[in-house]
Amino acid sequence: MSRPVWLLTIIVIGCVLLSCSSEDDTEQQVVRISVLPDQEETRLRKRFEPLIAYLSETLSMRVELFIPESYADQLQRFYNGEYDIARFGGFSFVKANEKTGAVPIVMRDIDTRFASYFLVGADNPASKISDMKGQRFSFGSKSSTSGHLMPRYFLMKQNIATEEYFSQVQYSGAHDRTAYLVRDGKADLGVANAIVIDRLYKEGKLNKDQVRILWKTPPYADYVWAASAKLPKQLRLQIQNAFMDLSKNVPEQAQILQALEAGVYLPASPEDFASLKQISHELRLLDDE
Amino acid sequence: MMSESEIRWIDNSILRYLYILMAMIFLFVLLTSLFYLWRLTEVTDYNRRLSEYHISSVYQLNALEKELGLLNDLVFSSEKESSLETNLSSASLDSLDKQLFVIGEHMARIIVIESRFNDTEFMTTVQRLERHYKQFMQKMEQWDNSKGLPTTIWVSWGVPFQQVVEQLLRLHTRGVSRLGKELDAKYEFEIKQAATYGGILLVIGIIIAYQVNLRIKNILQQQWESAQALREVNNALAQSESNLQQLNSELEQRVEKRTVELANSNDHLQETLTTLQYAQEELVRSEKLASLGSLVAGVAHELNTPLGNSMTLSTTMRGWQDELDREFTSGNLNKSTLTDFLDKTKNATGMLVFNVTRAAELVSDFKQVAVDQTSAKRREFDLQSVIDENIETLQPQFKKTSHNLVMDIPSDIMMDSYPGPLGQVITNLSLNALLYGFDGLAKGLVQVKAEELSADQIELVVEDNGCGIPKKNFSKVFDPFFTTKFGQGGSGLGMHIVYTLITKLLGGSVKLEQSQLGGAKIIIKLPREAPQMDSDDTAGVV
Repeated sequence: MSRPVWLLTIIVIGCVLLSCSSEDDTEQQVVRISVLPDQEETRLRKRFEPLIAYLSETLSMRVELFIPESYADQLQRFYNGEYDIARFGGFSFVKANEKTGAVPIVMRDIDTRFASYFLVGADNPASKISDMKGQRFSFGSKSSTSGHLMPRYFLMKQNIATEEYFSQVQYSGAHDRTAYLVRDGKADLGVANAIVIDRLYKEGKLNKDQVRILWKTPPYADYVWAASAKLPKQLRLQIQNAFMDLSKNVPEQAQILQALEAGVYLPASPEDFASLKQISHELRLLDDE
Repeated sequence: MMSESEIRWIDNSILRYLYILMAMIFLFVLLTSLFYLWRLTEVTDYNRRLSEYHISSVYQLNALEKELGLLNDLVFSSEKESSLETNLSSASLDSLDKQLFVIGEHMARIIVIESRFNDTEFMTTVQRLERHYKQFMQKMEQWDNSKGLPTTIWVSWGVPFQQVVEQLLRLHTRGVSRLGKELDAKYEFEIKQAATYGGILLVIGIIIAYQVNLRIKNILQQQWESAQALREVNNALAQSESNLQQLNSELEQRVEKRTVELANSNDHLQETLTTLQYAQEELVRSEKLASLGSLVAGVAHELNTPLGNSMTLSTTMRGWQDELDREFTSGNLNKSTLTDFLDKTKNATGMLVFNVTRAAELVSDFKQVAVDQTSAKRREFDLQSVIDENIETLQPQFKKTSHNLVMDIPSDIMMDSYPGPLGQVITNLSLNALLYGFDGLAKGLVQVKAEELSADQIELVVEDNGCGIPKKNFSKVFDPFFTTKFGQGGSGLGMHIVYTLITKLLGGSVKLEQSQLGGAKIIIKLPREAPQMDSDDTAGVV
């Protein structure tokens, strides 16, 4: 055999052996964490600093916080491998999971029990969704998990093809706006995030005399902390455990949990987002990116 | 260059190595497959046990959660029931104790299962669960019913415990849902590993086998080619050799044939030569006879006159005699008649004698010439008389023309030689001059001269005033059958006979020159004594 062929063979074998073993070799020096830019950066930093400090201490590693400019920016950077851990909205996670195999780690107890309300005018005689056939319907934001995707999923489960079932389908752009469309009679039926609506009721911005809840969807998962597929499993488990270890009975940790509006952190599973993933596929939302 | 057996050896040995290599690769693939199968059964077994682990854990945790829910209800219901009281009723207390015991039972089982599997992913949570459980139980043990309701303890320590149960339950639920996938992944990894290493080795094996095969092919090809080339060269050599042999044999055959042909033609030629020689001899002989014939004709002509005279005389005399006899018989014979008769007879007899004598002389001469020329007898003779005799025999032919033949030979030149052949030489030369030299010439002249050169050598010259012989023919004149009058009676042998007789028999030499008289001049040098021949009979010398 000629020399080049031997060399080539040896190189190929070497590469294969290296690729088999290299996975656990690289030492992670720093954990880069990014969060959803759903608030001002200063507020977000203030909110997440205690968590970062806690993680850094627990993992005995440097942990950095990154605030992306937008949801899309966060996703893109995550795709680029700039983040090891990211807090995603449901739909973002589905995309990241689809595209780069992002692994869900943990989510707050409340994140596992998200729900949406189907709202109708208080004087509407309907008792169930099927009573609303041929009427005007409004989602919230088109890319919202609780305002569009999951409600559509549950509608689909009831064999309702939204665009054909209702006389008019619109996207209000926000949960409160959907409620107001229903209140103002500009839509007969609207769907919005349960927590938001509850708060609106609580704050008196929405009156139960004007808008009532027709149907509450089953609980579904939304926000989730996900790890990059490249993050070593051991470290991922450590981070997961650090989150799950947070206890209200420890004062500093209680502060962290409070800042993050969490009771406890629970393990997250890809199964939690199976429905969202399914509807995203149905709507071909994952194709364009 | 390898021999064929060596090539076969290489062929066989390399093929054997190749087969061993193939067998090793096959064995490796087989072992890999077996290993993979073994791993598969192990993985399946592990899979089964893991399923049992998760399922039993989920079952136990679900039960625990349910019991904790019951406890939760119990705590809050008791709070409701005893909203006005600060203590739990004894019944509620019993239920609480019972509930805590059941929870403890479940916990014990969970701990057993979890520690049995000791999965790092779960153990921290299990430890947390244990810790929270112990803290909760500790608080509950410290709790004094008399000091108030357990609500605070439940909210502070029970709920976190409940939450950890939920954590663990979710972990296990995820584990169950992940079970298939994870194991698939594991299984996939095994396959991948086996396939990768097997594939790499297979590829290497194939590459090696291919390369070795290529090598062998090359070697064999080279061997075969060189053998082929050698074979071809051999064939070509053999071919050329056989060609050469064929050529040689053909050549030999041809040469043999040619030789035979040549020998045949040689024989033939020899035969022809012999025939020709014979013919030549015959011709020479006939030429001689021809000259003899002309001699005879001349002699006959010469004899004619005396014999005719004699005939006339004798007839006349017979008439006279008859007349005398008649007169005597009749008695009329008188003296005068007798005297007249005697006178006439006397004259006639004298004339008769003269004529008969002349005839006798002629016959004698002829006899001498004829004998000389036909027998070629060696003897001593006088040159003048011999040449004179010959010229005498030639004169009749000259007399028929206006040409002359003269001789000027000193007397007393004695020779011991062959007078016949010498005479023939003179005859031939003279007749040649007469026949060929004097065409269109009024008075031709042939001179025969002789001169003593030394004591034992004489020179004979025959020259004429004819047209002569062209110089270009000088060298050919003495060749046999050379004639300018072919078909007009010339045989082309006359001069040749002259040459042969002079050079061979008489031992002399002959030379041709231009005569001062205008014609040809033949100069003959002869020894006085001719060389001795083996036999006296030299008739066939030419």
